[in-house]
Amino acid sequence: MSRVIAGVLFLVAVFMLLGTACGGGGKGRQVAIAQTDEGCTPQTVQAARGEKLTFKIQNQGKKDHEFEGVNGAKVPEVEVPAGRTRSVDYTAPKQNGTQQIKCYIPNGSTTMISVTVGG
Amino acid sequence: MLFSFLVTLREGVEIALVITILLGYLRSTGQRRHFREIWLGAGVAAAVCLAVGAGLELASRELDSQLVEGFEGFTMLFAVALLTAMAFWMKRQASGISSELRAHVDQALGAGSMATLVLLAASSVGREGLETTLFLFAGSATAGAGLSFVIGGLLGFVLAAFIGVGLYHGSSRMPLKPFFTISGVVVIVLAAGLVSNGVAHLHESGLLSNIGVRPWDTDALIASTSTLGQFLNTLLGYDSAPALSQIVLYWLYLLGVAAAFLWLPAAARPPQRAVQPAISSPGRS
Repeated sequence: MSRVIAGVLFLVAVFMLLGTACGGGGKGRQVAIAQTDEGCTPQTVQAARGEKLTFKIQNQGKKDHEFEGVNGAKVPEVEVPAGRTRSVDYTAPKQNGTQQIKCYIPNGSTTMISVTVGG
Repeated sequence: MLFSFLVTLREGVEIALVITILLGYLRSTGQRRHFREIWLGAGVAAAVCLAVGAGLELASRELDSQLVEGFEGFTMLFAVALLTAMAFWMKRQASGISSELRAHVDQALGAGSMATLVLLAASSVGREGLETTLFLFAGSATAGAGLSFVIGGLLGFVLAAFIGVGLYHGSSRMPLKPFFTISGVVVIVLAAGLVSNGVAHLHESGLLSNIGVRPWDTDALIASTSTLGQFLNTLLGYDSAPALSQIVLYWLYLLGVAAAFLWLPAAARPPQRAVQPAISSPGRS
């Protein structure tokens, strides 16, 4: 019985190491995003091809906000509770183009933020 | 990765156990020629589960992102209900499952219907398989990394298959009772995380507008967007600023269900139904 428990604990430790080793994430150029109950600003962001950005999202409103990449933009989804700040790392694609981030309050205001890559 | 590994290991051993009992019984009664039907049934079950999984995945991709949140939220809470029921069921049946399956095999063979045998294998394996499908889908809704989730799941199944082969040949010294007790507790811990995540997803979908104040914020310590934060989120339901309802429901579920699982005596099983003899003998009149 104790050997089974030791085995399970060992596996958990191995996976914890694997889980953290793959992560990290370098901090990119900081881009401040402000959220209010009316919407998000700015609505356009410039990025170089392949540039690493870190969105610093500050929710100044009274309602919880969602922030996520849409239509293939690789911005992980994050919930920003009212009055809190969250950071999200993002790497711009290697081609010129426009990517979209949806910044919204569920059942409330929605702002589409366009990230212009290159150009 | 650990999430999918733990799920497929536990469920995989359950599936292996069912198949082992079926094959072992046929072997001991000299009916190896019916192995085919068992494998056919297991194959049918696997195909159905894969189709259901693909359907869930496609459905969640087609929907608008806000609807997806709601869909995932409901799936998570449904998975919690099902998993809890199954953990208790497994505890109760652990001793009786073998004799029950053997009785069903006798019935199928007695009726001379091979289709019934295929159906028996398909439904016994399929029940575990669908549980796995739902559990994995609910977990993948929060998991950050795609590939490692798949690898973890495959590793769990491979290990379960080895255990199954060992069980069949009688060489495995696997202590089944402690395995199902420990993995049952693991399932309850994972399900508690799904309770918290399910509430968060319903909130994000706009279905639950107010889920309470958020008493603390540990995002500076472990950011919810970091790899560690996502790992802990999938495994334990970590939220850097959980709302009061998430906290309360998480601990109520975890402590209540774990205590019931560990300390409540297994309920008495319903009386076994009389098994029809394979060959009917002329009755005394």
